Amino acid sequence: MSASNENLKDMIGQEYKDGFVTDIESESFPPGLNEDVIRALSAKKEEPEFLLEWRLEAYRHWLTMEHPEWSFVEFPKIDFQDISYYSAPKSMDDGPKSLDEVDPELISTYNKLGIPLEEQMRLAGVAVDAVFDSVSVATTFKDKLAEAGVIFCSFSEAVKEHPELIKQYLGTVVSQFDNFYAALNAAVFSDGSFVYIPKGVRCPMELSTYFRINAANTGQFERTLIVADEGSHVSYLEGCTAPMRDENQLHAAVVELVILKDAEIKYSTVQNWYPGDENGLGGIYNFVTKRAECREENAKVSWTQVETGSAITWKYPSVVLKGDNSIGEFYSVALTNNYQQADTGTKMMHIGKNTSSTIISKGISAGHGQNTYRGLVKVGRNAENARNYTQCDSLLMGDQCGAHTFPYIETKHPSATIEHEASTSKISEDQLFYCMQRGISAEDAVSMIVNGFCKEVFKELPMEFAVEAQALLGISLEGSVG
Amino acid sequence: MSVTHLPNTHYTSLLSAHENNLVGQDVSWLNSLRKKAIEAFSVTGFPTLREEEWRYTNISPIEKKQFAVAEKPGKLDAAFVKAVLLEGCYHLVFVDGFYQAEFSSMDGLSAGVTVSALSEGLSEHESLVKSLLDSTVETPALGFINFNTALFTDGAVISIEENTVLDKPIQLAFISSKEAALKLTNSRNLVLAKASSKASIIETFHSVEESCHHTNVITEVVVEPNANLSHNRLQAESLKAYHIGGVYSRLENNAIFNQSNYTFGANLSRCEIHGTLGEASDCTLNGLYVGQDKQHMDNHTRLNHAQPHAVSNEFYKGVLGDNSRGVFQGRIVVAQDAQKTDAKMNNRNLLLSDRAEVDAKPQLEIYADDVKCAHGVTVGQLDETAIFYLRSRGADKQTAKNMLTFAFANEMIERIDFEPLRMAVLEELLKRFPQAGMKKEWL
Repeated sequence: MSASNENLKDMIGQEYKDGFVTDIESESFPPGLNEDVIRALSAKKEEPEFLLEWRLEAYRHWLTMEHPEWSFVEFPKIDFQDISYYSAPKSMDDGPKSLDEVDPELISTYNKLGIPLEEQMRLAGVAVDAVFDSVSVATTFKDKLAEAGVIFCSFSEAVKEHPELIKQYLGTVVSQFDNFYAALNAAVFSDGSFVYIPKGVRCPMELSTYFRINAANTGQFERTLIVADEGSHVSYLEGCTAPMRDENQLHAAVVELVILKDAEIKYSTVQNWYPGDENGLGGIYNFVTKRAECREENAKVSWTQVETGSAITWKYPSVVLKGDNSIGEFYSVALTNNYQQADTGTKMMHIGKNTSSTIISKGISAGHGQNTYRGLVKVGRNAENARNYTQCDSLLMGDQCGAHTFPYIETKHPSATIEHEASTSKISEDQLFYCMQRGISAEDAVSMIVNGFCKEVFKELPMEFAVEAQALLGISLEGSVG
Repeated sequence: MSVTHLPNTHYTSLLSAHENNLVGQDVSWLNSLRKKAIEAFSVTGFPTLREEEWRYTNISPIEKKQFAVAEKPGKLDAAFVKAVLLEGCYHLVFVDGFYQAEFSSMDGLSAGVTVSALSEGLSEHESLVKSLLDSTVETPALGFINFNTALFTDGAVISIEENTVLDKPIQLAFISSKEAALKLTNSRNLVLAKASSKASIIETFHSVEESCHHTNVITEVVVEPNANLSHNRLQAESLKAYHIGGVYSRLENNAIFNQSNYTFGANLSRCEIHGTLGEASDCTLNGLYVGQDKQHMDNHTRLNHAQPHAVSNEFYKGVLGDNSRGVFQGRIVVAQDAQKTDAKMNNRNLLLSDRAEVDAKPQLEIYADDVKCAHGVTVGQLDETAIFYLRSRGADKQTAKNMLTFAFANEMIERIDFEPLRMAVLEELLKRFPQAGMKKEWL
């Protein structure tokens, strides 16, 4: 086997070497992918027949697909036969016994983020017993949600408890044949989240995968499905607010949002997967398909994402504006430092009448980072009075990085009003000087200016997230000021 | 599941059939250049929709029509030529891809300027031609470039000596005669503006009648240090024609290049304006495309900021009515060394009909940090309040709309300094809107 292949094996298959003891051999499938693996996976999860069929269809289609090559990111070819597609959840006993056993670098990052001690333990996967009151907190939440009629559970649980909802909505936004990674995900997804907000219900609290992810320890192929029924409202937070070192290096998730009449979903992501070290070794490949469909009139969806992690981020949270008067929004901050690469943006498909969309994208490149905004705004033949406003700004820090903007605008209706603006610049010497002559260190000044640059996006984030996102940016930029 | 695209056998066979029938067939370096182009084309053929740069423009009609090569110039009415030629210019007239001395005039051309048709002056200017030909088109060469290199029949070669200022613009008039129907013409122009010279070149494209023909024309431009070159392009071919054009330029240090591109004609047109910018050079690209009927107009610009301190300014406007479709693809690449680059790109589109379509793809690719780059795109319709304003002053709705449409397009036309060209472009615009009730004098 060639050296590069060997490297790749390390990158994709490796288990995170610091701390976590995760080798429960008997509970993992050997690497490889074929129909038997999918059958076994489905059987293990006790899935109904229709889901297995659905997976197999996806798999058969996936076999006929070619790996997409159009993106602006570079990485060695992935050997999909070299990945284990099922790894049993870690039992609590196998985790580190106390924080002392956890990588001190991780702990110092947690401290910088101001995460309380108990949460640190949870994030690091430390086995905690009943003392940990978050467990009971989680239960209280569950009761409160059930009272409102909100279903919020893991995907596997939903398949067992609410098969009719899964059957009705699964794959209706991102079909199992949609694209290479979506098809792969459909074939082998291990778990994920399911949310259903019934008619007219305003979800009493913000939902977060944070509470659930530790319980189920979802793997690399997760699938999220959120359905907002008529007149409902939900704010959903995704991702980890700390560098959760996922042992699997390829992360190919699918997120589907279904928004019915007068409903609204606000989906916020703070993504900080392991970005690799400063030489670009290791790190997560984050290849995610996210799409929302405003299926009926007056539906609204808002994507907010802060991407500071991952070696490669390749995703385009999209909105299909099918219902009349529906609204799509996309707010994004993507930061690439060291050798990180990001090719991210959004797609706004205007189909219904009087639909509007807003895109605010802020890209920051430092070190050797390559940051690409790629977005599509499409106005269909019948999309009367479609309105789009796009603004993408890039900030360059250092002369080794790159910032690229590739917008696509396709308009088939004269009543459409589309505005697109993009600019690229660096932090001005004047701004830096102004801060520094007031006694602020160069590093803090840069962090302050960058936060100002991202403000339009941060203000869309829920409060706690916004605070953490700001701290995260500061950490991710550390050492990039020369 | 990839579908291998096989080059159209009709066109590959044309290449070998006409191998011995072209300008400069006795020049060995040119022959070997053409051979190389033929080989490359035989592999790639014409581009397809699957190629990212061609995703909005389907050229399969060109493949299907199986155009034959125009082998000799058709007959032309002197009055038609006269109408096409601009006052106050030197003229080089090409009919169906062949230089026509009888219509051309270069009287009074100053000593430091070389203007010649390839068919007449190749042997005299061989070293000049050799230094320019294929020097600015980028590799990997596109199918149409190779096709042109393999088959060009004629074209102009222009060289402005150092410190020379040309007194009048040079007009290269390309006319497709009646006989050009279902034929294809390939022309290649070579322009060299030597250090500290100044000149203006105008290319015009007309058809005698509404016939279906295919024009493939490439202009290669080199602007040496401190030289100032203006290049204008007016394409007003028949509404059934297929026009593929390209202007490939290289700007050396402190060079100034102003390119304007006015597209009115052709059923399907695609124009590539590419430039590589040297240190502290200045490049301006202006464009206007006015589409009606089923016209498809693709404008493709690419500016490569290779050196520091260069400035580029790009402004394209589109007016699209009926079933027409406009495409604007612009790309600015800023290399790592190109610090202090200042690049602007702007594209505005006006859709007049609910069947018209516009696709815009403005791209920035930036590898240097101390730069100012911006691009903007708008797609929209006429401002209701502006229409209301005009109507409140007694204009009926259609007149109000026409006035505003004119004003929108006229912004690009007003940028033309050379009066005869401005009038010619204006006339083309007025022709597209006969119902407008607009008078030339108003504008």
